[in-house]
Amino acid sequence: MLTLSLRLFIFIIGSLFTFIIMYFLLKKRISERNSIPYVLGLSIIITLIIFPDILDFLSYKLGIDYPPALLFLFAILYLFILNIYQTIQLSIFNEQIRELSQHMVLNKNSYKQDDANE
Amino acid sequence: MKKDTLIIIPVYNEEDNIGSVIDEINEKEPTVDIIVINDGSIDNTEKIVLSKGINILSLPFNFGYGNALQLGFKYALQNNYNNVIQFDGDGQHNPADISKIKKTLDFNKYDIVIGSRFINKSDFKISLSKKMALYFLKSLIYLFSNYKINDPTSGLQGLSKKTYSYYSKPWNYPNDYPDADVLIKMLKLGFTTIEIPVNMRSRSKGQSMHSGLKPFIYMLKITLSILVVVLNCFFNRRRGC
Repeated sequence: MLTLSLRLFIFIIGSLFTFIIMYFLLKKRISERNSIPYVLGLSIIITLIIFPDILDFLSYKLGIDYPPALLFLFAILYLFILNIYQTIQLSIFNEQIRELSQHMVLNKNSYKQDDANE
Repeated sequence: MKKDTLIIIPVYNEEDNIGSVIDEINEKEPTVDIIVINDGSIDNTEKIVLSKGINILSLPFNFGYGNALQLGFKYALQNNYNNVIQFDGDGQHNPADISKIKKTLDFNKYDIVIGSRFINKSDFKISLSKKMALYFLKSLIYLFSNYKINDPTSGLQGLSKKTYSYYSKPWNYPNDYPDADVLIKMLKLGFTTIEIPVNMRSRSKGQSMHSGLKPFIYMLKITLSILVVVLNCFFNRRRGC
């Protein structure tokens, strides 16, 4: 069972992070597309805190005695998935930067050779 | 006039060695074109290469040895060279070996010609840790491709157009050090490979790219890359590798 003080604490933290994400969105430090996983994750946490019966029900079904442990398990799994997604994005960007840089250098060389031939 | 073989020399801060490397190649093997790939050097490497009248492609940052080589392959493809030979800019490779590799590529029609330090007895000395790493890589190559390669980490390699065209494509060539993983993949894909004996010299000036903690990280990375190649080949065996 989630105690009222724990619910309040998680709600405040969740709301604070939502505010931070919104702040970065407004300041154009983060794109709408990239903010979706955070907004989604925070919405789930806040929903579970407002309606703790959902968490109690899921914990009971999964055989977990202490419902907050399930919340933290979900949070860890969610962060893990988010991290993998970002690592994939990073690898793609890395390959794209490689391609771009090679393309740029080859083009520069072609222009240089064209200038030399003229 | 354009020649049919291109020597690709990837360099990173090689101002102490690159001048003499170019002079030696020009003196001993004038039948090849040279391209130097400057992988974001911050010393006088570019200035020295330009003063020798050699074409240089300069990358804006230090991306890695593999990326520099891949740029060389793309340049070769753009200029339609028959073969390319990878040649290190640190003075360890002997320009006298270029003609042997070139002949093997031209007449024997191999896809990959590896200049090996360990076929014949040579003066090239390597540390015990490097010997162990080489033995480990050789064993993995033999285990997964049933092919015996004596010098899987040799940077002196000749490649046919078919091979370097394949390497030019995105995701087909690693960013850092192309080694046993790439060899296993190419052998599994059916690219014909041969090793020929060459003489290599010890690095006289500058710092090796395999120094410090890098070899340990490198061995971890290469083992993982080999695992990925083997699994990829297993799951995609109907489509090749």
